[in-house]
Amino acid sequence: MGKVVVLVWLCAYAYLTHQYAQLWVHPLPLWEHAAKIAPLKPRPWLHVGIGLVLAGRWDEADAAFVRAADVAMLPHVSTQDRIITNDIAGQNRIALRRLVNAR
Amino acid sequence: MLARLCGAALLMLAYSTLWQPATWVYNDRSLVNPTTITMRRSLEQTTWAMTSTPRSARLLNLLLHSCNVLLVGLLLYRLGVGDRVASIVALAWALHPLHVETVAYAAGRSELLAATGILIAVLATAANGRGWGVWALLGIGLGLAAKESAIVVLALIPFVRISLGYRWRLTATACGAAIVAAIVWFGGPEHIINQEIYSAQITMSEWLLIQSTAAMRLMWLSIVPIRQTIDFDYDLVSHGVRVICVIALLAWAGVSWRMRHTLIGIGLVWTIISIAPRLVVQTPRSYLNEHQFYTPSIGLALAIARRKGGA
Repeated sequence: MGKVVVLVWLCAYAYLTHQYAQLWVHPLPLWEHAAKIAPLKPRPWLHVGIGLVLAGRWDEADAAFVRAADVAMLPHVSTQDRIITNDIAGQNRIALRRLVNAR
Repeated sequence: MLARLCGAALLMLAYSTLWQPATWVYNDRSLVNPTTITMRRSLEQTTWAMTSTPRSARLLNLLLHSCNVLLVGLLLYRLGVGDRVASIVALAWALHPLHVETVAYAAGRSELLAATGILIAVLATAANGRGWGVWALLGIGLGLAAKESAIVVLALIPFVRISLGYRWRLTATACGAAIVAAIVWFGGPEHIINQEIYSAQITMSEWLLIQSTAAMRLMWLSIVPIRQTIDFDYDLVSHGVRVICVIALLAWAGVSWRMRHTLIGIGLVWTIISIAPRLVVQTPRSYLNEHQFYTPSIGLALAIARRKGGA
């Protein structure tokens, strides 16, 4: 019985490790997962936006940057994070518009 | 032997998704920024020169993790745990989902190397054979050349000697002097504590509260590894919960110290010692995360094992 419990425990860990490791193959699923767990934190949304830009999904990327900037204005977010998020999100949105216009 | 081979196969299978063509390690320069890798991390820089592709970089990380698993197993055996239990606990530590970030993430390389150095040093200390000091020095040098946080080994060594009933006063004096020398070399307490840029610094008490919360969350994840994330929102945690976490951490430290002659006490104090610097040093806008919990998690592995014949 003890051996069965140990085996199940080890297999459970191996399964969870395998599942979590799949998120690390590409930044987009990793940061989408982070945004799902912490939807009121700006940084994951910023990285989702960057991941979407890399994936060529520019409209969704723009929406993610807007979301990051909106979340950054929530009261619990530190001033430092608010400034950095608005700066990066703003720059990325300007760059995206230039890319779209250049097409 | 067959069980160990199956364990190794299980470890490779668990991490098998990392062999997919991944560009994650090298393309995101914000994570592998050469300017943040200081001269003090010369060993880590050398290993980066050895791996030219993301796949080979991750393979090296996994090999380092496997090496650390062996060292953890050896340490458990040296601390009086039976062969079979030591193998099972080491394998469980190897397969724990909390280590995915350390293996898959670029910055995890330094943590892996630092842990290797720490384990060599503590293993030599626990063995207490002829020339143990030479091996311990080798481990300390390896750890510090990998990452500054390996400085915790200078507290772990005398602690292990105290717990195992060895002569410890000379070792503790030498290690204490080395810690002071290291702090002076790094530039004094002011430079150590304020790694964060000035405008982003928070008060010491606030930092302690949030880091304690992060520590308690990671300890919980060590037991129930569900809802892991690369970036948890600690800013959302209420002040009351943070205070409870600090009290819980202090209670943890106190109870663990009283049990320091048992394996569970050794493990729990190891975890607290490994986390302690992070409660004080403000690292750039990043609270205690999973790859920084790699060395402290070794303590939890020690704590769940059981010596032959009891504690």
